[in-house]
Amino acid sequence: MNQEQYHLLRAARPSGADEHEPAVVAARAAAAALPGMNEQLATEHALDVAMGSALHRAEPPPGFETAMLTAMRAARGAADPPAFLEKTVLGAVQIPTVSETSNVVPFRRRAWLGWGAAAAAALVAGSVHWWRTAAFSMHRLKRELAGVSKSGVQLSLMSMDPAAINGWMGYYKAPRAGPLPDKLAALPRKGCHLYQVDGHPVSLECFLLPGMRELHLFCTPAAALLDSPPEGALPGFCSVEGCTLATWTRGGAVALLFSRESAVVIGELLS
Amino acid sequence: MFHVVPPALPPRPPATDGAAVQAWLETVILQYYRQLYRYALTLTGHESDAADLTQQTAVKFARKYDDIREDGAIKSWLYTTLHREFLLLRRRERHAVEFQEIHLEPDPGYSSAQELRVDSRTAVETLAKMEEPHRSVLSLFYVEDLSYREISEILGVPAGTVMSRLSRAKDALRRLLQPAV
Repeated sequence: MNQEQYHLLRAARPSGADEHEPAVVAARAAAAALPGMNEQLATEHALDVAMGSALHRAEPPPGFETAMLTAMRAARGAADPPAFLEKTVLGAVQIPTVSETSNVVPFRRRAWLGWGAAAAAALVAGSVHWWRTAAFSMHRLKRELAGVSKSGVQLSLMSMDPAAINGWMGYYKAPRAGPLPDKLAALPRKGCHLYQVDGHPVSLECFLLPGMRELHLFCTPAAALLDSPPEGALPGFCSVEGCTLATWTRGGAVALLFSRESAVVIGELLS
Repeated sequence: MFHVVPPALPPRPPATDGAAVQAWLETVILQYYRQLYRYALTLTGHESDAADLTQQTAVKFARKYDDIREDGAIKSWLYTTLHREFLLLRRRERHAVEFQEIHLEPDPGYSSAQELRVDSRTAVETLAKMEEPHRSVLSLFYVEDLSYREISEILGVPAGTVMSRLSRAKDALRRLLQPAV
C-alpha cells in the first residue's frame, strides 16, 4: 500500500459513496494486507461518522430562514432603505440591502486603495464616532421614523406567531418597552425588525388591525435619547407628518407607536 | 449513515418569468442553506458570523444565479462563494478565530439555543481551533460528505493536495480530540 492509496482511503467519504471506485477498491485490498491498517481505518471511520453527525445537529438561529429569504427578495428589486438607517440587525445577522451588497464588488476592485483610504477613514471615523453614537433628540427620531412608517417597513421576520417574534427579538437583543398594554398585545402581528440608528438599536414590531391596517411599534433604549418621556408616565399623543404617534417609556425603553388611525383609536388600544 | 441525498433541483425557469425565478431561487437555497450555515459555523466558530455569511451567499446567489451555466454546478458555486466571503470577512475585519472567544449560545435568556448539544459544540469548537486550510477541508468533508474532487473544485486546490491535507487535518483533529475520544 503506497502513500497515495493511504490518503485516498482517508479521503473516502464516510457515507461510503466512494467505495465502488476501482482505485478505492484496490486501496482497500492493499490495506487488508497490512496488519492493523483496517482497524486503524475503522476507528477513523467511526470518528468521521461521529463528527459528521455532531455537525449536522447545528441549526441556524430562529427566524434565520425568513430573514434570508427576505434579503434575497430585497436583493432582486426592493428599493434602498432610507439613508439614515444603517445595517439592520445589530451585532448579529446583518440583512444586506441592495446598497450594502452592491458595496462588496467595489471593495474588491479597489482593494489597492485600502491603505490610503483606511488612513483617511480613520481620521474621519474617529471624529465622527462620538457624534454617531451620541444620544439623539426625540424630535429627530419621531421625524425619521414617521418617514419609515409611512413609506412601508421592511421586516426581517415575517410571522404572526408571538412566540416566534419574542424568540427572534430575544435572540437579537432587540429593545422592548416593558409589558405592552393588553389590547395592543392582543393584536395579531405581522413581523419584526431591528434597525440601528446613529449607533443605537431601534426595534420594530408590526401589529395588524382589522383590514390589514398596520401599526408600527418602534422601541429604543431611553439612554439613546436626549429627551425621552418620563418613565411610567401615561402615553403622550401627537401627529407627525400625517401619522398619529403615541410615545411612552417603560423599563428603560422608549416606545413610539405610529399609525394612520386617529388618536382616539390608538388611545383606546393603549387604555 | 448521516448523509442524506437531497432531492433533485427543479428545472430553472426562463429568466423572463420573474416570479417563477424567485420561487426557484428560494427552492434551491432552502435545499442548501442549512449545510451552508454549518459550513460557515465551522469556519467562523460564531453563530452570528455564520448566519451573516450564509445570508450573503444567498443574496449573491439571488443576484448572480444567471452566471451559473449548469444547474449541476450550483452547489459547488454556493460553497465556493461562501468560502470567498469568509476569506473576505476575515481580511476585512482581521478576524482571526480565537477559540477563547467562541460563543455558541446566542443569549443566555433564550432557551432554544440550548438545542446545540455538547458534542455538536465540541465538534465546532475543535474545528475552530484548527488552521484555516485544515478547517475548510474537514468542514466540507464532514458537513456535506463531499468527495475530495468536489472539495478540490470548491477550494480551488489540486485534488492531490486535498487528499494529503485531509489526511493531515484528520491527524490534527484526532490530537485535538484526544481527551474526548
